[in-house]
Amino acid sequence: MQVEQFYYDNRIVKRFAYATALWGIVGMIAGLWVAIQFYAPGAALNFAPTTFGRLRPVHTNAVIFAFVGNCIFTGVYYSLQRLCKARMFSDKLSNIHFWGWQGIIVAAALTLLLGYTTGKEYAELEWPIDIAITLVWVVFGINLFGTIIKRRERHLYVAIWFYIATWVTVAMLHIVNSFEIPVSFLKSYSWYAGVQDALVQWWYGHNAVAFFLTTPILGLMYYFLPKAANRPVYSYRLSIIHFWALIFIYIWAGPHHLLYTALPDWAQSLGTVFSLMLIAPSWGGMLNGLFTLRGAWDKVREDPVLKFFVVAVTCYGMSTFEGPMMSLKSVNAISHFTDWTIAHVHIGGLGWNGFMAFGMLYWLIPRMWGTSLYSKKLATNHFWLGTIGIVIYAVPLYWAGFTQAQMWKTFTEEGQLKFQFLETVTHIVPMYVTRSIGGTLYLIGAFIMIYNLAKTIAKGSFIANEAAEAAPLQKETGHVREYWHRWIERKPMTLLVFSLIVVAIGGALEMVPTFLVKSNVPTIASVKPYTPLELQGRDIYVREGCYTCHSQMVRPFRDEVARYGEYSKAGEFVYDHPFQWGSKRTGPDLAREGGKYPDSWHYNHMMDPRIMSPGSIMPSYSWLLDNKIDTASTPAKIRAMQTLGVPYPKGFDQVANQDLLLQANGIRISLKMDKIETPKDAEIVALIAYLQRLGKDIKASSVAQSPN
Amino acid sequence: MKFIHYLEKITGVSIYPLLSFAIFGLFFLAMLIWVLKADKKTIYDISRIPLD
Repeated sequence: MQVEQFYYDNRIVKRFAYATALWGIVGMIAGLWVAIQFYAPGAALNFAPTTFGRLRPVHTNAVIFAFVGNCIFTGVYYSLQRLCKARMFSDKLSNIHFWGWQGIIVAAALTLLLGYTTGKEYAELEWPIDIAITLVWVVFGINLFGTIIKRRERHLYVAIWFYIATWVTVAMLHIVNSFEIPVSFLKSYSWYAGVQDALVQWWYGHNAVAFFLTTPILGLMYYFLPKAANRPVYSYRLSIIHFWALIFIYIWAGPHHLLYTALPDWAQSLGTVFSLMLIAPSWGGMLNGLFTLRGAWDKVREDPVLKFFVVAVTCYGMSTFEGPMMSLKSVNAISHFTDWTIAHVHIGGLGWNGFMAFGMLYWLIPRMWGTSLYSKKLATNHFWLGTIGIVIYAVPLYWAGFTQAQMWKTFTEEGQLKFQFLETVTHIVPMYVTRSIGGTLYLIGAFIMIYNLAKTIAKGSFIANEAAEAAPLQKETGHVREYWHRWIERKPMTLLVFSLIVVAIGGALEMVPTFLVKSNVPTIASVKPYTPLELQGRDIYVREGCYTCHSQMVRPFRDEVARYGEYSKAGEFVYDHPFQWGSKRTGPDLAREGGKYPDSWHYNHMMDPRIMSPGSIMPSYSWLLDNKIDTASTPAKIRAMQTLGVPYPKGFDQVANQDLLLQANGIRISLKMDKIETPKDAEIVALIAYLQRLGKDIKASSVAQSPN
Repeated sequence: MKFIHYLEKITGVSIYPLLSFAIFGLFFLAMLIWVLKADKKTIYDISRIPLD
């Protein structure tokens, strides 16, 4: 058989590897910055783009899509070529993919800092960027499948299945969750409202974790761990079961982010059941990784790459055990809205994703530069700094989360809530300080890696095109009847279709009934659309990322009803495009904020929260006092809402601004009575109008019903 | 224009999730049987692809 000569493209791998390191540092610095703001609110610099609400999405998006994203592409572009014994399908597409993705990252960072956001976690990017992501993702797909099709290896190794599942599922998630109606070039409203928006968002959010932070990294594990250990994976059979079980079960688990909320109960239970089932495939994968090292643990002592992989896989095991536990309603009642969740995701983020990325870079760079690692000792130091950093990061936050939940739920003997919300925050500030020390250690480790890798690169010489040879694929002439699964795994397109069917099932089964069955969202007659001023105020609320610290979801617990008021009902959110339930309570819940405080309280509180609540860690929002409401956008916003089914009267868009100014004037007068002078078109007026509206509709209905 | 209207227009829409659930169940079962019965040598060969 004629053996063909060809070259692997290392240049694209190098680019993605550099981008991984760069964005890793950027994402971690953003993370450290927001962590410091928890105990030093002045670190927000009294400047809109650097406040927590805007910087936190920059941190999460940078770490997920820039750091881990580029890490995935580094690993995929390296391993795919070798597993297929073929160069990438097109160098041009590789480059478009690379530069396109980096362009998206820069655009994302800029728009998020400037306050352009959809207000949906991990999907904050506005519609033009969403479209760009779709296009670049298609380019990646063509390149991926093009390479697979021209491969010289008959079988598709399991790592490639994970890459295919990643590609198809991320495409589906991104498109379904990003349905939004553009209002202007950088502003849109989610197509879905309230409960439905929440379900779609957390179906997306959870599966972004599953199919962006887990499946592609598992693919990398199945390639790089055997490579680094120089032995095949422990059980290939297990890897096949692992693959199908994982992608099927994962897609269902999203509703566990919405336990005890206004989401229909059956959907919550479905999320819990599938989350528990997830332990099986997750641990199957973890054990498959760890058992690969059976009889080779002596190598782990020597090799920093294996050290990183072992801790990464162990952290994967820990967080995939913890996740299902947190999906139990009784545990979730404590963990949800607290720092417990933050600790949980950082075991995954710092441990699993970060350490897989570091291990892979330490393994790849010396090989692509034809040399050995500059310093094993430095790499080992990085490993220990990182590991200790993770512990110092996570343990205080577990403590903080548990402590705060207990304090929220404590009643005095007289049956009163024992602690003010603010007391539960100031109590855990020392934990926040410790957490940021852990994060700093982790960041220092990453800098050491960059130094070590730069030194390695300096002493080697880059092999841009690595020579290889392999025989082309022969048409199979076997007469033996093939098993059908082999037929699937040899045909990438079939694999793609099957994975799509599998992941689409979960989504359809959860979403279709929630959308269709009207009894899932009982309508409340007194719930009315937002006034134009409130709508503008709500957009300011979304812009400033208030949802990153404040929930709008009172769960049906004694303490929450006592603290915030009547628990939230599904019917209250029917006009919320997007929903703003939030996922973390660094500040108190705002679902029943309306009418709790006078307008002047909100004015002073936004100017400097510490005037009204001494010890508060909320940033100041002084610019809201000066900025003018963008009234020019009101008609377009009203029309967009009408398109989405919000029942404003016909032609209301033309008179909306009159209505807006009338209501604004009322707030101006109310502020003036408290000796505060403000123009009626200041942004603070719109925000006050929105905050004073929150949760009031349902109170109106109870007043109306009380004579009965 | 409301999203649910599109779903409501599909006749018998509720059958699709059930059908797809059944498809998956059968697929998973068949996969499991295949994995347990698969030829040892093939499995060994595939698992060594990264090391070649």
